[in-house]
Amino acid sequence: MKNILLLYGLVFLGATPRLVAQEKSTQTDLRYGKYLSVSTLLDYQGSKDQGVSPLIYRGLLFGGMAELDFEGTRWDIAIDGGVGVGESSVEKVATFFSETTTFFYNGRFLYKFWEKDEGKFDFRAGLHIGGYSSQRVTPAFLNASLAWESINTLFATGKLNWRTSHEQSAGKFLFIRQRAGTRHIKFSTQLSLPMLNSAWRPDYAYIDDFSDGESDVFNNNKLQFGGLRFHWRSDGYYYLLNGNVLRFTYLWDAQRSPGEINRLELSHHQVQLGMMIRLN
Amino acid sequence: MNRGAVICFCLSLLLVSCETLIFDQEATDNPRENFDYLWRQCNEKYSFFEYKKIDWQAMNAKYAAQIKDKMTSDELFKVLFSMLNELQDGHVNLISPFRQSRFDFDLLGPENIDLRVVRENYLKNDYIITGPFQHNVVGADKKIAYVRYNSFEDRVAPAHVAYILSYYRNTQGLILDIRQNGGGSAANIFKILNQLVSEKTLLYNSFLKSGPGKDDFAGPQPAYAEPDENRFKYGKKIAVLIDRGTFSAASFFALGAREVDNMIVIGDKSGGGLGLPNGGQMPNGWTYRFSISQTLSPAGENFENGVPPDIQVILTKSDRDRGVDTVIERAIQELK
Repeated sequence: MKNILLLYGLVFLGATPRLVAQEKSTQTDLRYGKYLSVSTLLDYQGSKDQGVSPLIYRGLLFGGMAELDFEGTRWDIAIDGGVGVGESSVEKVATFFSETTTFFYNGRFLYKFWEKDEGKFDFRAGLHIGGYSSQRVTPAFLNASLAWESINTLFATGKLNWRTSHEQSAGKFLFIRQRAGTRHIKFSTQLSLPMLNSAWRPDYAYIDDFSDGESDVFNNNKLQFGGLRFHWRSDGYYYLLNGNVLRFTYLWDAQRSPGEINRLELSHHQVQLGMMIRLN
Repeated sequence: MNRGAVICFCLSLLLVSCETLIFDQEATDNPRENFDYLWRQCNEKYSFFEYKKIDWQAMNAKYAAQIKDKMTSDELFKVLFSMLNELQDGHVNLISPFRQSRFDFDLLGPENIDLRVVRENYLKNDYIITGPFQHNVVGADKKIAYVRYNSFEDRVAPAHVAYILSYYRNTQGLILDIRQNGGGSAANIFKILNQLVSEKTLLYNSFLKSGPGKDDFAGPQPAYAEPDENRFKYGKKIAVLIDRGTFSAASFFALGAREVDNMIVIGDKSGGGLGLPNGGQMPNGWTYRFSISQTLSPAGENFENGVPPDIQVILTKSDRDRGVDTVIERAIQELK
């Protein structure tokens, strides 16, 4: 854990000043553009898999995300993917733990429907396809120790943007040199509500029938539609003079798979800190 | 800006509070809840109620009466352990930080082997070890190969079996002794049998629980032994020795051996264990496992209570006292 935190610190302390020091972009409006974003994530996960336990396992995942983002005056299109790895446990049995590797992926397609004050505020809406696929290994569950699942959802989504700016005078912030100029800031909040939710996960027996000598954990997985899922994210963007953007994201995602006996309830509270590198 | 921040803050509180819509309350940890949870899990998922003619509702009435609000963990464990033991299944366990329950399937019949007798008078001092197998020649004229396999947890490589068959190519037959073999990896069944069969052979069919109803099973999932292209073609008769301590993967092996033309099963009924065990956790954190499938012979017979041998032979006290293994001697006769 300490090593991971140290790595996080080094990546950001090392990468940020160099990127900030890049020459100023020739783009005229820094608020719109195409970006490749790289970010680290810290995810507090809670899960209750009723197929194997009535208890909620909680723990931290660490990982990273990459995102391709086109933000235009009308369209807002983003595709991202990433991975988080960590352990979760249940408080009353401290010796039991669940090792989790989760892959996150999203595609968001939004169109601007409303704006105010010459683009200071705008509202965009559209579709969001979001999912995660994970592997959980909980040795204490014996033959049911391994679970693969994939939760995928088609959302209707709405996003509210608020853009502002301020004049920055030359100086230093900590050890980062600051150039004089106009700094743009954007806050956005996006709520996605499910239109179609699916869960592909261990079926009733939970285990694969390995009596034929071959163990394929996917054999007993089943795709089901239904359940509930909410996805909400809020972002803060700080536009640098060189066109790149520092981004802070808080994301909450919670889902409840269909079915009763083997239902999976899962929530993620995720913080991302990233750099959006301008591509145009 | 302040108004926006307040709206955002309130919105975030509202959304995060939606988590209670997603998560059911965590199960309460008290003796009654734990009892109910375990009973219900078994009721919905255990696979042999019908076959074993167990009235699980009656078990609820019997053991629920023993649950007290202020009983100790040890007392609760004993009640739950007793309830699970009604299933008479070696694949059923309850595991707490301080105790683990089990069902002693091997005590349902006599121990049909004396390992000291086997070691001294059959394997002798010059036995060979090949992977997980110990082997030598036995019989008055040393014309029968004897191979002992202690546990299906010990990994088998096809090369181990091929070497043994090649080494004993001039013998009249081979004895494979899996008495007191408590099981392990089912993959080893096929690593052995694929070296022994001459054609694709259906060994058994498995049915996995697919719903809470007593007859809700998916399947069949057939299990085949298929001849390995590189196998050594031994071509002689093979006797498989079993007893009540032959359990789980070893029982699956015995069930499959009954279907192979040149194999004969000798000894006592096996310990069964033909249901695959799953695993799970109770509200107090204890874990459990129980059978969640059924495996039937190709003819549809259910041998969960023990795979019967083709020839029933019980080790006699007088033979044991003389240093003779009745079962091995009978196998030698059959193979000559």
